[in-house]
Amino acid sequence: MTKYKFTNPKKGEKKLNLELKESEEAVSVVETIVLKKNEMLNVDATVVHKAKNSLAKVLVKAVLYDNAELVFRGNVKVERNVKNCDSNLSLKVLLVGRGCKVIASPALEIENNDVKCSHSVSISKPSEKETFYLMSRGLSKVFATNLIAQGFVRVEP
Amino acid sequence: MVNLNLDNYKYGFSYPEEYVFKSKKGLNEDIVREISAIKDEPLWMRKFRLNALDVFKSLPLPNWGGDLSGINFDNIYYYLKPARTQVKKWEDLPKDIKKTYDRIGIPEAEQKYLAGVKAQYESEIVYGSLLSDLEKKGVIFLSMDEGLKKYPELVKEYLGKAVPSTDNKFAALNSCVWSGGSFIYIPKNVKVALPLQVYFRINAKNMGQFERTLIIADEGSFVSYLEGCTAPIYSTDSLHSAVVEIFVKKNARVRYTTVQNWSKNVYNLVTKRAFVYQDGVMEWVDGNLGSKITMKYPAVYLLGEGAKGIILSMVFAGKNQHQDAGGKVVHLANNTSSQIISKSISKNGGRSSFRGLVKIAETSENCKSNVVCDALILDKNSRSDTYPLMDIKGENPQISHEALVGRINEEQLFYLTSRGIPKQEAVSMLVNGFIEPIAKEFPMEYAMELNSLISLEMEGGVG
Repeated sequence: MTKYKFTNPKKGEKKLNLELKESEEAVSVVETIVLKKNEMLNVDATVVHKAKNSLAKVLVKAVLYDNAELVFRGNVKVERNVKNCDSNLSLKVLLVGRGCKVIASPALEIENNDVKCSHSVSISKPSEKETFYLMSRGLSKVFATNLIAQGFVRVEP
Repeated sequence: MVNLNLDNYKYGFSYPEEYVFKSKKGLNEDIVREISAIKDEPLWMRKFRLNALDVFKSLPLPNWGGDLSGINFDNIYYYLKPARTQVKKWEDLPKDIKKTYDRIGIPEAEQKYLAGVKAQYESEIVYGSLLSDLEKKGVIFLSMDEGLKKYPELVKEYLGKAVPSTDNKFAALNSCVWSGGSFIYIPKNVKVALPLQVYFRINAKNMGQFERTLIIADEGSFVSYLEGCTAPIYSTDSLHSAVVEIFVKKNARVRYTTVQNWSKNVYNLVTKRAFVYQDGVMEWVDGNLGSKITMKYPAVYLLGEGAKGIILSMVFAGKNQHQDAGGKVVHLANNTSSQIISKSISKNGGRSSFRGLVKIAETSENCKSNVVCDALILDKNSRSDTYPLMDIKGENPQISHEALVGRINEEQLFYLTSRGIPKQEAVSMLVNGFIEPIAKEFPMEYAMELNSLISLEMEGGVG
């Protein structure tokens, strides 16, 4: 399970190149990203299913502070005659600051019918309800937002 | 396995060509001048065409999407005039043309549920009608050529404003040889209850159809516009390249429904764009069943606060077909919202691609967008792609996007067959259920045709 990780080839770049070559292989990769003020990051995630019955789940969670910029490129590819694959690629972005930019292009290229492939992207601010609840318990707005952001990027064991 | 795709295409008939005018094959300045002269156009329009020709020559073919290298631009007739004038009675049409529309069933549909009809045959609109009380209310429903003659100021003000000739190679091509299409103006607060319909038909071989449509919906108005299209089956390719521009003013609502059912030798490369102002609503309902390659991404530019864009797209890619469709939404004002729903089905080696864009400008706050694309692949030779792009900059956006690609649900199929439904029928029921959220948005007659078409396409083609 730990064989695959996002690498950091140079500053401002994160890459994942997942090639599933063994049948029955199951991989799950979770990456959390926090972009502080004015930070920029390019994230590339490629998943190629080359063996049948393989399973891949890739989840990227990102918190963006003021003026941070995230570019996300994703591609899930299932080749012809590679059967019974299950693949999911998700990007979840929480915009904590102002002036953030997100460019996301998650692609799917599926060349046979015996698959279950999906991707999803969500981009939003912390919900007003959650912030209000925490503030009603006496937390300052900044503290409340940070708490929500921490909860957002925490990886469930 | 029986392949019924081509045999089932009931619009594949053709009639001999007896035309008033047929241009020479190929495209050059003389042809463009000739078209302009036949149409007796003002000078600015001739310049518009000639400028677009330069743009067309200078732009390369797109290097993404479908493979367009098979188009031979020198082997196409760019202008075919089938009849001398537009008529108001079906009986006045040349016999073969009338027969064509009878077989497609347009006169029958007109009586039942349409407020106005135009019929385009090759390059020109040959028939036109509009309910008289709508005419009294000031609704304008003309062919684009008539529109240019009667309302040159309006045409000059809006033409090319949403889709300039420089937008892409095929918009440029359309701008230089456009002919036919409709010109619609809905006055303030007029709601057109029944749909207006235009029917496009290609009959000749190696034909290029380039209609140009302009819809202006003034403040508080509503119109629903339907277009349908078919062509005969030939071994050589035809080209259909339309441009549609729509202006949805404050509080207006426009619904544009397309049922594209070209024969499988037509390249369908269309540019459609709507500008939506304050609290206006634009709905694209786009069904793509036919054609060899379709590249079409209806676009909505949300320019006024509270504007809304909805794109419903459905494609069916069969043998030797590549359907590259989707939608684009650009949020340029605060509190705007959009929704894109796409359903695609690939079968018998067909390829369907969804290509979408959601863009929120830096200056736009509180925008919402929701994109859902589902794809169904029915056999092992077919292919499905999803290429969405989200470019999000404004404050407080709420964006969600999801895509799912898969096969027919085995459990559901098992359940249906366990109830004694034959497998083939069960599959077509599941496929109809899959497209139902979009199919129900089509007018009744089309929805029924869609259902029967899909059942036919499914026949003998399970697994």
